[in-house]
Amino acid sequence: MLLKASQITKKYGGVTALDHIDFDMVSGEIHGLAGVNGCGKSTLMKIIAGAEHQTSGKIYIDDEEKPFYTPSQAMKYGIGIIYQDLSLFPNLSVFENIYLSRVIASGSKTVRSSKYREGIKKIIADLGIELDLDAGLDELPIAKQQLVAIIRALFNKSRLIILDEPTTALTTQEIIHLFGILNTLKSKGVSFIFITHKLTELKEVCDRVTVFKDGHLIGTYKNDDTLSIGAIEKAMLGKEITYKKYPSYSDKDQVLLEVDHLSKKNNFKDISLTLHKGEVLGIAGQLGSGRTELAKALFGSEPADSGSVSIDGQKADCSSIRSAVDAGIAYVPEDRLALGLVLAQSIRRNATICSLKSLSGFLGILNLKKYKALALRLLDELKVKYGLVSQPISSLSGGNQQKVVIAKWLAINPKILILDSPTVGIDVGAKSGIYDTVHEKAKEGMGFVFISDELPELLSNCDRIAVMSHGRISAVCETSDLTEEKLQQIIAR
Amino acid sequence: MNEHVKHHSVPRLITENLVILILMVAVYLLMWALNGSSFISPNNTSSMAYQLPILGLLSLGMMVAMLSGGINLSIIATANFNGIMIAILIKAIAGDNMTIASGGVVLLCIIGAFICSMIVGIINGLFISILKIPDILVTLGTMSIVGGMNVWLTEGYTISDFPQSVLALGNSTIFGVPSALLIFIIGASVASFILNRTSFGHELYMMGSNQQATRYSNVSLVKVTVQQYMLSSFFAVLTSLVMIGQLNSVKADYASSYLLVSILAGFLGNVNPFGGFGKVAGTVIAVIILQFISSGLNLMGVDSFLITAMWGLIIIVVVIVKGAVPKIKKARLEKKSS
Amino acid sequence: MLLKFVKSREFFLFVFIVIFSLAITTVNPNFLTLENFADLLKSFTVLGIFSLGVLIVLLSGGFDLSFTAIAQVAQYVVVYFFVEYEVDNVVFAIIATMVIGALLGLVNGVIIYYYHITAIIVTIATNSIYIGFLYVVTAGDLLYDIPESFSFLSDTKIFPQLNASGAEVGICVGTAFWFALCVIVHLFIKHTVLGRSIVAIGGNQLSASRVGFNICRTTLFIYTFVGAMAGFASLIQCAVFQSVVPNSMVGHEMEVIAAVVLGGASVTGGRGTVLGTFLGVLLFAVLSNGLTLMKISPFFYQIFTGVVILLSVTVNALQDLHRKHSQVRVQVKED
Repeated sequence: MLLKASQITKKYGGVTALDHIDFDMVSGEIHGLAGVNGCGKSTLMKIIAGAEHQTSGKIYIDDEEKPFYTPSQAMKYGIGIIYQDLSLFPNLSVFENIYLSRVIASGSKTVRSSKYREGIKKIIADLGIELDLDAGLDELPIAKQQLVAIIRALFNKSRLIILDEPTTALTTQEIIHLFGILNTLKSKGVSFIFITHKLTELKEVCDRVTVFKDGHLIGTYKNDDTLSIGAIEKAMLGKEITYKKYPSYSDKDQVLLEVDHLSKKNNFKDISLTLHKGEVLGIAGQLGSGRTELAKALFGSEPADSGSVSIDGQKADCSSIRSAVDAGIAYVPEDRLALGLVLAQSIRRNATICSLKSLSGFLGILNLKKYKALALRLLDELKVKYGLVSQPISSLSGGNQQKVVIAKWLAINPKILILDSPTVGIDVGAKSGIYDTVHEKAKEGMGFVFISDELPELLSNCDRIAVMSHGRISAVCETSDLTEEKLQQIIAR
Repeated sequence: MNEHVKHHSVPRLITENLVILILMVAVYLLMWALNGSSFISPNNTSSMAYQLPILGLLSLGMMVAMLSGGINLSIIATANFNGIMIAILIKAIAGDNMTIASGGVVLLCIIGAFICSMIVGIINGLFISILKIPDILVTLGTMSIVGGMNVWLTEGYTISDFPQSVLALGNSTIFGVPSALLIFIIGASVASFILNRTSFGHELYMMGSNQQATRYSNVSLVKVTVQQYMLSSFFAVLTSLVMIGQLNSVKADYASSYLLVSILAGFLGNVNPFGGFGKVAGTVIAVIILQFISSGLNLMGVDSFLITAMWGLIIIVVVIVKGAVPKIKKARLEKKSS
Repeated sequence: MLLKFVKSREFFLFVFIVIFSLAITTVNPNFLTLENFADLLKSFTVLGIFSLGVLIVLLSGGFDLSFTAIAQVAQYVVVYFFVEYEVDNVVFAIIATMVIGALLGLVNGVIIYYYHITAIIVTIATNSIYIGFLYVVTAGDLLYDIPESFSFLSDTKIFPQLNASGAEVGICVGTAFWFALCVIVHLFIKHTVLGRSIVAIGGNQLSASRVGFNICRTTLFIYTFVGAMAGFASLIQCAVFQSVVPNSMVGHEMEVIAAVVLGGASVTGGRGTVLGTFLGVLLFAVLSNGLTLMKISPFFYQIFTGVVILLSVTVNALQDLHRKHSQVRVQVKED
């Protein structure tokens, strides 16, 4: 047994993050971890990597008990971790990024880099990739940087490499390439723990899958034909979501949004789309297909280079957020925590931030009565569960937080609302609440662009689905003609 | 279910600032104990009332900058610049003898200087927001430039003898209250109103906590930052009016020791150094505490340089204590749970 | 490789220095003489040594505004006691100033590391503590009685040449020390684990701690190092001016930071070279000499410093914006 964790419990203050977890790894295995944010999977990874220590329980490496160890000791035991941010140094060369940690571990005072070069070149050759060791790290695309992180782990003689959400920033091609590399290494006896929120990836690459929920280990499953994505999801969320098909409110005679040959270098190219009044248009496609970039261009936060956008037949200016919002476009970003919310500030401030202009009069003086009333009305309308409006929004659950993000835009009544992966990591109840809100507003004539990874979600909510890949639109289909399998095929094509 | 907060708005001023209010009383009693009755004498009280506004106004200007997690290093240079511009403009229009300048000319010159100071604020704001250069660096640069202009314009000399109409702004009494104190009270009220009751204030607090999320909520960071630094400069202008009134002169390097103290006032007054949180009331109380300390030490005959060193020490003690409190709380919590 | 160098900040500075020097020479042919140049270098040696300390701090992503105050204290203490006890030994003096400087710098490091406080605040505070106490203790008195051996640093020339009037001209020992320190610091940054840790921490502190860099030791080292450099520079300063004035250096922090930033160091950490810093100081020296030769008011000097700071951070900012803008987000399929 390469690694065995037995009865691991971890408490932070009064909160139990992990509750008597048993977990094991064998050599040459890819083991997937699934669970919504805060389920405890990251905590377990940090304990295995030595970055945190368990409150109780034992860890065995090669059947030998290892009491509390540090990250550098973990490295000596052959455990490497690659965090989502990769933990590399943008200001150093690729070469240095790879060998520096080993120099530190060796306890040497000076750096004699030349003796490492051959070893690193061999690792790179074995992986069958090309990498310029003397390039600055920040000159490389993110996928190459990730390979640098993997090579660093291998150079440190890691036998178990923990990958935390390694695919979020990669294109499909790059993901396939990464999986190829993982399989090559697996055949040489290297093991991986693979954390992702994309269940299709777990299904594709893992030998076993372990599911966490609220600090408990729900189960470890062998990945064979009998394991379905639905079953993993059910284990993750505690109940299976049933997707119902929402009726269409699309008014085919009225074009609300027309995107014409929109392009942005290194982001997307030649995008032409139409959105009708009351329509929910889905956008499918892997991460890195350019869908988020397209959304940001429409919203004016990262404007396109060329092409045009019209709304209600009028040319719309999407060169800045302000002008795009004035034209009637609003955007619920994919990264809720960094771009959607100001976590430290109050629920009320977050809910009203977009409407301050209409709530204030001469010299920007706020009408407090209207201000307070608006916040209450919005929270009520979206059925947000909260304590006090003055509490920081970080005190809400993910689902309720997301409802506030949507509410702040609904307050200014946009013509078009772009939802970028709006239901990632939120509970089932909040999901259906958001779907209901979308269709209520669609009924009133609002247009929606709905970006998602979850194909059943797209099929249930959207009237049409556009598929993007490599920065282009590869297909636009009516949902009524589609099944999940068909859509999957179109995306993979 | 969430409106009951409203009925407590008066006590909230006290509950939110309880620690520093107690500290204020404690410092007052300590200084009283150390100095005896001379500390509470009307003489000392009124001298404190005269001195407090300069530090207070500067601290408010500094606080406004700190709300976005930055520091406005150029604030004192701007205050001196404003005073020097007033003097130079008056001299340019009314001749070398400033005292005979008419009220109209004086008003015009004050407005002229005000515009110049606002330009400094606008430049700060634009560099910070458009080029995304850290605010400390931008204000470091403008501090050097504006400070250098001050030296250049005055050639290092003091310009004195202002017309009575200018002096009256900072050095008269209205119903027994020093006008400087009134300017401070009005300034603090205006600041509080702007921060809590205008859309700019809300946007500023939001921006201070998370710039990008605020930008993605259709708030122009450029607009908010420029307004923020204009407001900061506005307090430099008020400071300069009070300083002219009290000193009847301007010089390139007046009040330069106040830079640290104004940052200290922000820290002590619970302004979060990383941005997003901070109230006028806290800062005002902190300024009062610092004034008690400096007046008390002055009465005891403590060297002014020692007082400067004290500010440095206090700032380090304050930040260390502030850093220690959450750690102790956390440790206690973990002890409880285990 | 060559292209990379041509596009680098160092090359740009070098070209600028050459052009400016030639321009000054046409106005005043005395400019490009060994005598003038050695004098110019001598008067900028203090700034040059300060700048090495500041470079290290900026590289690590930190900041220091207290080094001038540290220099004042170290200088005063050493000169005072050396005169008092009649110790006239420049080597002891160098060691003493560096040790005092290092200890005062270490205080910064301890507070910054253990209490996680913004370096700029801590060092503004310690600046006023050091200067405040110096004034309280010394009552601001000047010292004119400098131990004779100190002039070894300012008056002794290495490889002296005789000029037309028969006087010795050449690079003074202090300046030679500066050059030597440049080489040492360069090697230190490039080839020691500690040096690489400083650069790595400046690039990404979280990653550095995950990879196993010792953040504590590095942080303490950085601020100690600035202190030691400040102490050393202060000794040369007093040798050059033959006096100790308690406020002769404090307030000039910005010029040093401006020179380092001008030399391409990033204030957000991780980027900067010794060569760039050296050229930044040199450009400052040439420009200030030029300003004097062109009879521009010395009052302009401070404005000029501010403009240099703003311009160089603007250039850095524009480069960052450009880098971000040209990043490949999506591999767009071409036709």
